[in-house]
Amino acid sequence: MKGEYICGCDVGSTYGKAAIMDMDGAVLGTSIVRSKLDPEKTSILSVEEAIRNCDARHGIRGLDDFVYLIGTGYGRNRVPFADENISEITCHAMGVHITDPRVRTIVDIGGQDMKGISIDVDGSVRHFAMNDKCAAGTGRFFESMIRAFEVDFEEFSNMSLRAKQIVRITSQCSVFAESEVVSLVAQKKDPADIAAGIQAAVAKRCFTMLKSAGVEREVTMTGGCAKNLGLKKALEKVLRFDIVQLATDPQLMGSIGAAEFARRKVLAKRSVA
Amino acid sequence: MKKLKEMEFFEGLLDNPKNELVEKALQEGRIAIGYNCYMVPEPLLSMGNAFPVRLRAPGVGGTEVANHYLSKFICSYARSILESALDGTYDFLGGLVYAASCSHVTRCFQHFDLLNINSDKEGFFTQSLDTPRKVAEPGIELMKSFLRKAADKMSQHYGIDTSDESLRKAISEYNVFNRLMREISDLRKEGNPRITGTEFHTLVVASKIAPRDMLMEPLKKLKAALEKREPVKGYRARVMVVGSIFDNPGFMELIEEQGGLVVADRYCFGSLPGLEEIREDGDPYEQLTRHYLNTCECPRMMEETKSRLKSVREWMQEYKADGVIFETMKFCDLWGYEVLSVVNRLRDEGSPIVRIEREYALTGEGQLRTRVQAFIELIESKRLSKVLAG
Amino acid sequence: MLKYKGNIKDQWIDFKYWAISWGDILKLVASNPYKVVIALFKYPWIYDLLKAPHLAKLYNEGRNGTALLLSQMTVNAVIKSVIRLLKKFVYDTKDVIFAQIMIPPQIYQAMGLRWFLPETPSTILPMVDQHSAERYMDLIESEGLPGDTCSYPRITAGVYAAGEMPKNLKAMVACNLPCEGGFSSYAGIEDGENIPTYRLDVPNDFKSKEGMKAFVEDLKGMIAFLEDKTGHRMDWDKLAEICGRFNELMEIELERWEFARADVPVIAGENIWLPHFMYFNVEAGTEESVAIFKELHKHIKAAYEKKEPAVKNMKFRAVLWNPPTFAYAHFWNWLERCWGIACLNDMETFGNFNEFLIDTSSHDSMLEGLARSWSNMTMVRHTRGAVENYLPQLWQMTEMFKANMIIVANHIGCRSSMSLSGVMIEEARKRNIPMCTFDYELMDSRVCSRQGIRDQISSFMRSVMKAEPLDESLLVIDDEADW
Repeated sequence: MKGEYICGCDVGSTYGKAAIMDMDGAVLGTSIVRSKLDPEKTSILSVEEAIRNCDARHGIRGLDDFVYLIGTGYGRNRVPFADENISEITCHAMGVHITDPRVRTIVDIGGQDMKGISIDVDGSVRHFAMNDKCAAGTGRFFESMIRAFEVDFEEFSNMSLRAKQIVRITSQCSVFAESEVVSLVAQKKDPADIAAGIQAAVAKRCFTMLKSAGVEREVTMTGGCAKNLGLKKALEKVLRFDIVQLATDPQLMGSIGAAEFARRKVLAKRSVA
Repeated sequence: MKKLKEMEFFEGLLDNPKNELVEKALQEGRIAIGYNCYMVPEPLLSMGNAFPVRLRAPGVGGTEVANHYLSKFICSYARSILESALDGTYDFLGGLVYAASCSHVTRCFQHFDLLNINSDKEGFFTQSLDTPRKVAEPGIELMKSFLRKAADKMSQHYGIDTSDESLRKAISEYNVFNRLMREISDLRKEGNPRITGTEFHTLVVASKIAPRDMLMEPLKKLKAALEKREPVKGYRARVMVVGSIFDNPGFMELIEEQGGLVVADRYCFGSLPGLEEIREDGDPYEQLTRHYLNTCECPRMMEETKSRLKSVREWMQEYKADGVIFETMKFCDLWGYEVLSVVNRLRDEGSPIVRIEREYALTGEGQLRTRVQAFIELIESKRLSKVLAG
Repeated sequence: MLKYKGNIKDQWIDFKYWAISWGDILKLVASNPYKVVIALFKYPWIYDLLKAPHLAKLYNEGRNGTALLLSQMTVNAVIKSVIRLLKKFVYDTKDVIFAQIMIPPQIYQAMGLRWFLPETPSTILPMVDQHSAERYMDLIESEGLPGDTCSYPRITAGVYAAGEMPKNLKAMVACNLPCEGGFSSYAGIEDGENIPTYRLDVPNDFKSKEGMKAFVEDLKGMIAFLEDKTGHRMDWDKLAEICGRFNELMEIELERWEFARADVPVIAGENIWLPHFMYFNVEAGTEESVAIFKELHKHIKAAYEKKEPAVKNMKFRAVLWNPPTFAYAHFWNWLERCWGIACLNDMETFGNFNEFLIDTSSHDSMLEGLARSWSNMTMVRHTRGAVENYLPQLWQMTEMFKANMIIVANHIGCRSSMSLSGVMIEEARKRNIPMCTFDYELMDSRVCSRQGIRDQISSFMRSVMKAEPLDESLLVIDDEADW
């Protein structure tokens, strides 16, 4: 099994992610690339980037070096070289489980959806709840907020931590919320306070999602929005306990989970044979 | 798996409410009576030369006009039906008998009178049935009186024989048809079924939208073909679908493409309930009333929450279902509350169950696929855990 | 913040009824401090009820004279009523039944029963504090109930799910009124409590002979059930007495309407709606209901003699269709002060009550009278059954009260009323009656804030009625965080 590699490719609406693993389960290389309009192109770019990020001594040069590849995410059906596809819910659960087995509940905030996933002791999904009909509280929503504030993601993430109070955002819809923020900024409200209001509103949505899936500690966040420290703090306030920070980039959980499933499939096939 | 050519006939009936069999029947001078709900007894509308047509709205996309009348906050089935009605889709109906099943549907059908839909058609009538929400004597008497009102209108407007004899005959024919359907339905209980959920769903829907007597021969041919067929292969889990209006085989196909073979259909336009024998003795109006009240599995029957949960458990066992897809229409209050009693209870008992909220039209396929696929994966992992634990 | 307006007499009225209300609340605590404190722990929503005296301030901002007095009296009477409801179960729950709000309470009164109304928190909490019921809605939604169902039964289900309803009660009576959300919310209580339950199934077609017969038979079934489960027997003489009070109340009510439809209306807004809501529905048939109506009527008559208008700067006569905004309980006050709109009647209040005096000569006639009056009750006659129940009375009411506009509070969770909005708008246009419809959620101000409601109405008033506000400062109020 030495020298054999598997790959997980998570084709999201905003970012494509890939993770390359060896058959012992060690993650050798990962990537996060901006999604193209065509999910096929995104999958190719993400895998190529992940290959480039692997240590050269592994000798991984191309798709032929993978014994198994699993696609996941919104574009999972459009990964032409995938041996099979598995839903992102199942992959996120597994990815988090092998990264931090203490975790029992995940809130995943992606580019245009939000999920609450309850996981079992073996990393399998117990229940899940999704909000994929509305972009409120997702990556798209935060992108529009960042536009309104004219800052970058990191600055926005830290802004709310400086807030003295919360300025509530009343609009439920992200489109109207953007106009509301623009008008609040024009009213000279402290941007930090407005940012805190935004984080609080999204945290509330996450909370509802988590409750639907069933909250059990430990809880963690995955997806690109998990790197938003302000959101993490706001969610901890609503939950009244701390959220576990994953040791690996939370945006990679789907692809890592997919790679892990690929590994298990290969092992299972071989043990049957 | 090879598609049966005998199925194509039934599939062809679903695209348009005025399908080829309805056309043929109308040309023969028969009367199509539209209806909306399980609580409208099909045999009632099958007396004499009348035949029932359960209303669907295949192909309806936007419901802009219906949104104006019913508002956007009403179930999309109700809005789709009204939109289709305003488009003239049901202009072939000779009458409309609708049950006051729920507020959404009742108001939808009240708009036939409000907006004079089909009012220019000679003989067209509407009759609502004030169907009770529990099985009790006062309500039974009331429902009987409404069934007689509907029958009287059929008689007055079209000279249809609505005597007790005529109704008994209609019940008897209904029972004969259902016996044949049950034989096909039971194929799904096999360890390796020879019919898919999509195929059976197509049959059940067809049986509600075309004259049943015209379906007997094609159904017998199909049954013969099914008996010779190889079992369905390649599915990953046996699934029961529970919920409300579900009349689009496209949804079923989506579920089955993810590997979930639908073996039990507890939804409106399904067979659970729907294929039971109706008693042919005594007062036929009384028998119809009692039968439909006692067998109704809709949450509108407000005293039967526990019994509905029991039914789901029993059907899961009977059809060997690995899990339940609980589908509800957005804005549906009845099924929304049912989540608290059925979904949560089954989940607490360890039965795999997923809740999917949907619209009437097949939209958001990507989202639906993700949910169904994740659910099938959940079932597989639970099965694997059981094997490893054992 | 209350701005004291009016003279010393008005300020005295404000203070007097505030003191009386707090006195009533403290009397409840003093009656059995230990049990009341225990009840506060068991049913934390009772804390929110303590905000009720504040409701009087909200209703009466900027008011004076008889309108102020009537409103203060009514709020105090409502507080007394709620205390009476609380007393039925806070001391002990022996012999107490669960009783849904839409069932004639005259029946359990006549049987000497004590009852707990699960809708008590759902009804009162949003009125006294727009945010106080949100925790219950969030809880039941997190258990899977869709968030688009009507907030009223959603709160009831949420309070039960939070474990904040009395336990181990004897029996439950529920009903299919007013809607599916209503009766579905009781399934959880029945299951959770494993309690014998009788459900009334009121036909949609209650106007027909068969429909009424079915309802009366069902009521008999309910009485038999309660007799069996509680050991209390129906006292038919007492029922006759109670029904007699209801008749007396109806006669007074019809006179009140005359005062509202006068050229100078002496009664308007919540002074019409709130007493009707409480004493024709929640506390129907009690001695207190007649006493308060008589007391209020005394002052209404006096105001009529003096030609004292209910709304000082009345510019528009309006009628309200659909239930009023519970999470914005005092919106009548804003209509009056910002736009000079006097609401002279509303859907929940209006009905052909003169047709429904209860014949107390026999058991059956009493039950039939109760059945008829309840079939025509708040949210029942209009939101169920034939369309004829919903629209014709709107035009009848508009004409009767000489309204020059209609305000329609479009509660988006109410399926039966929303699904007639199209024909209603078309009919209003045909009749050339300006109709202001605003979309909101009955008891959840997060869906549409109070400012959202005000904006919709203000937009209509400017564009369609070509009106200017009486007080520009009232166009935008920062009350989102307020009670």
